[in-house]
Amino acid sequence: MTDAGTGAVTAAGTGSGTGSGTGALLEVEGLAVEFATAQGWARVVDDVSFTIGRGETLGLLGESGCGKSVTSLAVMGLLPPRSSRIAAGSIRLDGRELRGLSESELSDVRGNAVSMIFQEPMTSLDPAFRVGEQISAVLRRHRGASRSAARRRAVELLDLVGIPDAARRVDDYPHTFSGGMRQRVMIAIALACEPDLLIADEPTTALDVTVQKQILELLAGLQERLGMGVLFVTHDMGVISQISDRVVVMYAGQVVEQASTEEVFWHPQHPYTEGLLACLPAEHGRERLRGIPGLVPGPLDLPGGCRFHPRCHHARAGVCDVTPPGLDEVLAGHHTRCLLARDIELRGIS
Amino acid sequence: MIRLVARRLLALVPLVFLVTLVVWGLVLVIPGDQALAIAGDSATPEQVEAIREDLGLDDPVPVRYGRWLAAAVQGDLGTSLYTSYSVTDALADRLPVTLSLVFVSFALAVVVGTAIGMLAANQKGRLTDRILTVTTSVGLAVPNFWLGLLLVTFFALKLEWFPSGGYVPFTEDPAGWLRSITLPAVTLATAVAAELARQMRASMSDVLERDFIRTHRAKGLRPATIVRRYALKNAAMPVITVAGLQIARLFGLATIVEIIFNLNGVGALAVDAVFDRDIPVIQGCVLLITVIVLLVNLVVDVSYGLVNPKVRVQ
Amino acid sequence: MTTIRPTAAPGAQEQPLTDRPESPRQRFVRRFRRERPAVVALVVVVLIALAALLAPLLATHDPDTQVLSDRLQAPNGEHWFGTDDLGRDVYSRLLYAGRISLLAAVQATAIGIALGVPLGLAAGYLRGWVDVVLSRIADAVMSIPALLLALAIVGILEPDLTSAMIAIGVVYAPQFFRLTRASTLAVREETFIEAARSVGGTSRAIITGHVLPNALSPLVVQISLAMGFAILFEASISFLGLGVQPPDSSWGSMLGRSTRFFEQSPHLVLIPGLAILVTVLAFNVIGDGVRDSLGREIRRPTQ
Repeated sequence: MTDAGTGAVTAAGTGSGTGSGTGALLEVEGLAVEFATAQGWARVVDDVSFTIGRGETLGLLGESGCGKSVTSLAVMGLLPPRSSRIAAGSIRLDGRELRGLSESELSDVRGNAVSMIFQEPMTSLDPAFRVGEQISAVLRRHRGASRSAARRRAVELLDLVGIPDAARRVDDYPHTFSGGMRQRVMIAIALACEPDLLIADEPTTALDVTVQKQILELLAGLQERLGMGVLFVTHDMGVISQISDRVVVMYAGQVVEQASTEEVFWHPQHPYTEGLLACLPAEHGRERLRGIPGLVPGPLDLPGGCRFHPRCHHARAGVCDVTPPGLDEVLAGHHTRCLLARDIELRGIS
Repeated sequence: MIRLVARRLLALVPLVFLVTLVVWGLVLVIPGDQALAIAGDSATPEQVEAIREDLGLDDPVPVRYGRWLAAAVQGDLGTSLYTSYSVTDALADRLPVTLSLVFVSFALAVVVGTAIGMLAANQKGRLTDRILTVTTSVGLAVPNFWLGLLLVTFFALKLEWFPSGGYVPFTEDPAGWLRSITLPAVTLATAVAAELARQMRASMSDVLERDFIRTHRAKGLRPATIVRRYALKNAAMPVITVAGLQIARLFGLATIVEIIFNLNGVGALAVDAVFDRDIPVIQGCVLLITVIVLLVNLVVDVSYGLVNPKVRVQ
Repeated sequence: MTTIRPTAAPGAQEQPLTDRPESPRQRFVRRFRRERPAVVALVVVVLIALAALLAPLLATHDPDTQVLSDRLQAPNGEHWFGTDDLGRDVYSRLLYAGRISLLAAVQATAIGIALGVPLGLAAGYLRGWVDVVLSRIADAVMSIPALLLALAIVGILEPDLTSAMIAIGVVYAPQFFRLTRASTLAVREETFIEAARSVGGTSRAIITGHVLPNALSPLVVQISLAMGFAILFEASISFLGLGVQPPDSSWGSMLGRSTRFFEQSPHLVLIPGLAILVTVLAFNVIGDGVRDSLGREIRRPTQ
């Protein structure tokens, strides 16, 4: 998959501020999302920018609560209305601004040009409707397909995502499927209208390892066939290494590192990324490193200076707890939000 | 499906049997001598003895129960103590009135209650929701005989849109039937509609926060489609169970509504019988209505199976 | 991953002010006080109960004195709520009738508890055939429409207030039975019961010491709702003339005997009806508030 979308990689390589005219499929620029709390609006995603080219897979990486899911929901326009808002930034799909579209305009895009699959396969399908109906609904909504045509296509799609005996299974209810099979059904729903962009939010996290591998292979294969861009959200470095071309690492609502997958793995430039790499099982003949102590701070109790400094074992008093770092390009196409990036040596995977 | 119905029907048999025990057993707690009560104060001891013999009151309790049950199974619920009418005939006469009233009320309550509940859940926390919540609370607390009086006074006596009472059989005059049943049905339906609205609001707001609703939104389905087609079917499941219980409530409350609107239904018959202490009629009314309630609940159970795929498969 | 809960973080308000962990009762009181409608309803119920208790002090007239020359007066300065068809003062009658309505509801609920709770404890604690038999009987009683059963019981006893109370109590007993049985069953399996049993606690000590306190919360909710229904039921039965008998009267019987005069003197019907409505509404709102305050610990948002 790494050879796909080279153009976009180059485009993205010009920096985080890449704007329109680059021909990228998705351009997110300066995105800020806020949630209502008892103490007012809390900013949970802050100045996030990235692009995804056609056929390219971007890995969005970070721990729980770092803002990656919120970012992906914002792109889908699925943030809860009233209790959340996009406070700043722009989201352009094929050059078309999605921010500020009405719910009705957004619903024309969702499931059509952009699709999403979720982390929880056990609860993401409607238990009261046959899976075939749930797939057909998308086709009838966006393609105006007839009942019978939509059904035929649903069988094809179930077959495509590797569900055995699709012609019979199309009339079954979700509770008769296993977790992995349900995630395949979710993928079938997402791919029904052959979207340009697929957002996969931890699609394999809830599955066991062998199933996880199958689903990843399925996604990779389908992406190649359909040539879509993929935003792959995960906390799992191992998964990222298998599927993505480029990686954006998020921490406490901000992008802290952005580079090609190889760069991030081989030469991480942010201590947080180093910590995430350390969580990988010790396979490639290296010893197991310790994980990152502590928890991601909430949006209402962010530390001053660098948001990561309380958990960072490289942090220097008087520097990291004082100055908030900017996102700088330290190597060609490699951005990091670390004041010490040029001073410290970080361990990647060789 | 047929096996499911058959199994539920079989399960009803012991329950109905217990109900007959309760209904019939009530007689045993009567203080004093039943024969004496029927004969009145001026009767001679011989007359009292004759009544006692007539009713078989001297036989042991199980024999009396067995006799009554055997007759009841064959559709003979005895004879009214005062009018010497057959209880079964009297019930057959009056059942259509009560059934019309209860089923029209039920339909009304389901439609109105569901609509209010869905609207409130959709507007949760906003002004509309608060107004509807207050309205349903009042609907649950309002004494229905009082509401009936208000409706009669306003819509029947003042505006003269509807008759103030009486029943027109459907077969004679469908329009007249509808007019005669409207006010009683609205009166009877209010509390049940309020209850269903509360249940639907709770169920619907729960469903709207589920993950699969987000999936439907991610598919680009329109909000109205998601609510009316998908969320409703999911939200309906717990509400259907509650709706079944409301049937019994409707039959109970129907007694008083029948009195207010001068409808000669089973409920009114029961109230008259209570005044007269006409035991066989009271027993007959309670037994008939309870059996109907149980059968309707069975229908509700089965329809629950139709909505919930997990039940259907089993 | 978990998205932030969109609600205004409840965790922030949930914090008790002291460092010491709250007792369940303190938590309940704190939460109940936040249920503003329930607090208002509680005040309303207290006021109504006080008005009924203090009826002799608050009444402006003797409730039973008939002044036939003052029949069917509209509310005025002398008779705040007007007079009835026998020239009696409606305001004073309403206060005294409130005593009977409330007392009747308390009695009916008490009968329901007295029947249902011990049997529920027995069924849940002993299980086996006791449970099976009692549960089947409860099912049978519950499948009979409540008002119809109450009327039948009144008819078989004799039409007066005591019969009505017994009838309502019997109708309610299965609900208390079920609730107590369910709580008992749930608590029965808990380890602390095992522990109590293993150190040689008697069944009675276990039931009063452990099982009952745990069944208490749902019972409180049920009692509040049952009070509301009992008032409605008593009103219905008395409205029909099968409950309280003259010279006594309850709100329901006041209403029942006034229906003929509705067009001339609507206040005769409106006032007792509103009294019933407000009281029942208040009990229901309290019940809802109690239930919500007893709810399980709200899960903290992950961020």
